[in-house]
Amino acid sequence: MVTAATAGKLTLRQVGKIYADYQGGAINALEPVDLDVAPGEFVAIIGPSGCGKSTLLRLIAGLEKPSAGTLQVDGAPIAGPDYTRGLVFQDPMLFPWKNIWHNVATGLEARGLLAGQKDEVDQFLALVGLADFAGVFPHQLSGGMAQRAALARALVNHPKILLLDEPLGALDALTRMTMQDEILSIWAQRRTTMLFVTHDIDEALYLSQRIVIMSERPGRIKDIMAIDIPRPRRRNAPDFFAYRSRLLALLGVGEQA
Amino acid sequence: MELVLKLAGAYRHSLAAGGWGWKRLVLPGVLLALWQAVTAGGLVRPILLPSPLQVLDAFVAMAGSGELVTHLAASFARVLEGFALAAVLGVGLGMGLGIFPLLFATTAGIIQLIRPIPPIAWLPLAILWFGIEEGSKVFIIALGAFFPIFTNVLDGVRQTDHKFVELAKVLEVPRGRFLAQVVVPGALPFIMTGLRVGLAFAWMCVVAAELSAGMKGVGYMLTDARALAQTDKVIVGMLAIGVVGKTMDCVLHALEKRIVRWKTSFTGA
Ligand SMILES: Nc1ncnc2c1ncn2[C@@H]1O[C@H](COP(=O)(O)OP(=O)(O)OP(=O)(O)O)[C@@H](O)[C@H]1O
Ligand SMILES: [Mg+2]
Repeated sequence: MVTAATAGKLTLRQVGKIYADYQGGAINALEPVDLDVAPGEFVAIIGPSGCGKSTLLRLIAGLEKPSAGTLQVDGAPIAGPDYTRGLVFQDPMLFPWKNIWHNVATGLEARGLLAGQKDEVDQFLALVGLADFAGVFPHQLSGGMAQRAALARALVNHPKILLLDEPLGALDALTRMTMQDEILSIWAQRRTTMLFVTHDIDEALYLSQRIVIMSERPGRIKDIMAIDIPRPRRRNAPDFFAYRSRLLALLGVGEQA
Repeated sequence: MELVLKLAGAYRHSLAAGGWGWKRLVLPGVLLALWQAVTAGGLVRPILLPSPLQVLDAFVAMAGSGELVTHLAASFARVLEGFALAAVLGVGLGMGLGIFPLLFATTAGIIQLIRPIPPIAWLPLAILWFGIEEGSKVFIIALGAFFPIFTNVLDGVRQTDHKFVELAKVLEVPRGRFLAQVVVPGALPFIMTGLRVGLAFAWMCVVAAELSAGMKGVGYMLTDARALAQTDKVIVGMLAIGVVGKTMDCVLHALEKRIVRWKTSFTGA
């Protein structure tokens, strides 16, 4: 299953987004941003609430049209949503009336591939540790298990890029750490390009190769920080401290002496 | 008779399944005792409120003579016809208007204009158009049951989570499949609620329509008994409607539970 990333290069040039508000006014959600993500890279995006992180992901997913600028994947412009850019929300958003197996199979079924790739569904269920829960309905799962099912539902389509919008935001600290490790191991196996929005500085530091720091509305990219901590990373490694202080300063959250 | 036994069995079963057993029978028992006490003590005149035993006598007489069954069957048939019509139209139009914005834009105005008109206000027109006995009543019932069904189905379609819509786009789920596998199942609890409320409306409408015109049905039986000052018969008729209506609702409720198994419902705190 180990495949080196050959695709999933993301190129954003002067991408801006202005929403129309309900009174006919304009909300400047995203100032023109430039961003390059290499194939197979793990990038975290962090920033204050309302700074346009979700907007950025939705633009990349193709769910939203940019008001300005261009977005390309592997040199081709993004025309609209498709399975090559998978999406995972904070809420698992499993279909409550489908069992876990059928939830995960949704994408393959939609593209008429299910008949030939049923074992693919089983494989990905096993990958996220839900092999024994194939026939179970979402309301019978814990939050962490449901989120793993959502992850499998996105991964089974072999996306080039996985867009994760605070995927672990609703989980308790312990489950969260387990899930972080699972995501890292999936990434190590599949080398999918990862764009991971989070509010948690430690999570960003633990997971990513680079952190995109966005500023208050209208959203801009304030800084991009490369995290050169060797892997496997230890959560309490001293290397984290220097990065953390720099990040806190950039986010304008001064440390109290 | 076999049917009655089966129903009784099912009722006992549902009591046991509910886990409350005898507690369900406390309030009806108390009310019955109170009713008996009030009437037996001569506090109220029988013409205003006959005693439970008098009502039971009337019931036995009416059941024996076939009078009750005849009228009940007439009403029941009308309810079934009108309700079936309303269910087809309500589910169909509710889905249609929820899914196709153009259909909504062109028809919602008319539907909203008709909705506030009480179904019974259509009776004069309905009698002219569809005849005094069956047609007009089925029409009124269908009209009365239509709106709760339609409104609930439309709401059910409307409440489809926007994130599901986006997810479907990302996963490239085709439109038809999206409707069948996401919109419809998501709307099912609302559809079932609409059908149950619609059925209750159907019973209200049939009695109202029969009170006003015609020679058959429970509503007619009520007016007739009132004219003859047979209050016990009035009460038998009312209770019969309650029992039949509740039984039909139980059937729908059981159906709902079967269909919407993925949902855990709130059963009280
Ligand atoms: N569909 C929309 N229509 C109008 N305005 C919107 C829409 N979506 C987002 N916005 C606005 O754009 C801005 C950025 O929103 P966005 O959801 O991208 O923020 P975010 O960084 O993801 O915030 P959070 O961390 O709270 O999730 C906000 O001010 C929001 O009100
Ligand atoms: Mg967000």
